[in-house]
Amino acid sequence: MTDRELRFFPGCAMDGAGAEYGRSTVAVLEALGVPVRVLDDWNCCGATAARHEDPALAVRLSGRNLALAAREGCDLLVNCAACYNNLAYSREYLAAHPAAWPAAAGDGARPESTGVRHLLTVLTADAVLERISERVVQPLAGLRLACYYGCLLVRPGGYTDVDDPENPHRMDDLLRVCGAEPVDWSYKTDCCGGSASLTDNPAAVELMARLFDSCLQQDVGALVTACPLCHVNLDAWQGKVSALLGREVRLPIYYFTELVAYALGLPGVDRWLSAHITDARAPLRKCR
Amino acid sequence: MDKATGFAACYGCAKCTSGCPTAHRMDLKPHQIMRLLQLGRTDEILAASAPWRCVGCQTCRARCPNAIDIPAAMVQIRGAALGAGPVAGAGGIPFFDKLFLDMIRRGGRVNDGLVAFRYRLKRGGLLEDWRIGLKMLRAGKLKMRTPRVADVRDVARLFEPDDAPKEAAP
Repeated sequence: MTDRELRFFPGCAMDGAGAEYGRSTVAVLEALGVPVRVLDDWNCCGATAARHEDPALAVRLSGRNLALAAREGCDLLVNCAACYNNLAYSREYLAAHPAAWPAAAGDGARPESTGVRHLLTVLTADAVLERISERVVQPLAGLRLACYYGCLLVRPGGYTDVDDPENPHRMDDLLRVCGAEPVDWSYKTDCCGGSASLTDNPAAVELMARLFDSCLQQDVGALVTACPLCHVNLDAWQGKVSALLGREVRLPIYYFTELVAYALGLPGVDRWLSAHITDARAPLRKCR
Repeated sequence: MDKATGFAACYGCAKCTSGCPTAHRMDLKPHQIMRLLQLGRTDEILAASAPWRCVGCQTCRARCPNAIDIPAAMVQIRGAALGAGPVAGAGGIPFFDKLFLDMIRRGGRVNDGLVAFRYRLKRGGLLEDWRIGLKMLRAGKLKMRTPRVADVRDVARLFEPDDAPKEAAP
């Protein structure tokens, strides 16, 4: 871990569909003694809309957030996969095109000296992983998990340096320490179609069906994500996936932070899980 | 088309198409688009629906042996096609993007549930989704107020390219 202080960039989903991801993230960091302060006056990164409509605008939106962190001499801590990708891409772009770096960052602050760190890298640093393993009070015993990394967390590689783009393992490592059994899974980086779930729902359902079908084949008890868009997509459309596959799919979808919080015995887990569309509470009761 | 995406380096191995999760829905496959770009056959590319089927998963880019930014090329093609008039294959994507970006321009942040609601209101599907909407409402995932940044003017300025440095055009 670097010595630089972290500023949490929550992103818009943490106020909406991904509220439980935000709350469980803060709870886990606080329990581990990692100070969390939210980046003051952060703005939306533009998600996929800005990148599709106007890539230069996407860089400017993220550039403002990077400059806000740079002015404080801090690194950004991000948990949303899409925000992470946009911020990390913009950081690389701005480092190569200094004229576009906002003057608001102040003298001496540079994009390359302002880190963009995903929560998963922070929690799987050796020292932190050790701290977690020492504090596990409710191991996720017997829980077979499909650790799902999706797209924007790990690809294209290069500026996304969270994990291996083709065979990531950090979420598996983290949840194994929490007592769970992550399975070898070929689909951990296959797209769930989240960005198309509103504009081309059948395409998204088809992509999700492949993921769920393999989960059924591997007798997985739950799927774990690090992205609010993947989460709402996989959590909400299981009825349509069941219709397409011709068999009932009811798989709990967790944020990895919810499972870590459960293993650490933190309060609030039940409340976060009650916000899921597909029941996610029953499988954890079995762990007790 | 902007050469910065590197399409000139394509030698047609089709690794992009092989790994693409939506290639089977595309009228032109990613490697075919790269070839047509090389040949300058822009009309065929702009008439295709393929760029609108791209979900931006970055698999092609991660695997391309020539490091071509294929998703960025797809984005450029979308922009050029829209610039030439309405595009049949685009579906609701331009409308969704507009709703999303308008919300950022106005307040700096996005209310995801409200974007989805407005999209459904205009494009249809509210009835189809009402059950999920109700569940999300009960779960407290839909909020009535859209959060705003303190310095709205500062964010709105980012939407005025004249104020922004010209170099910021990836």
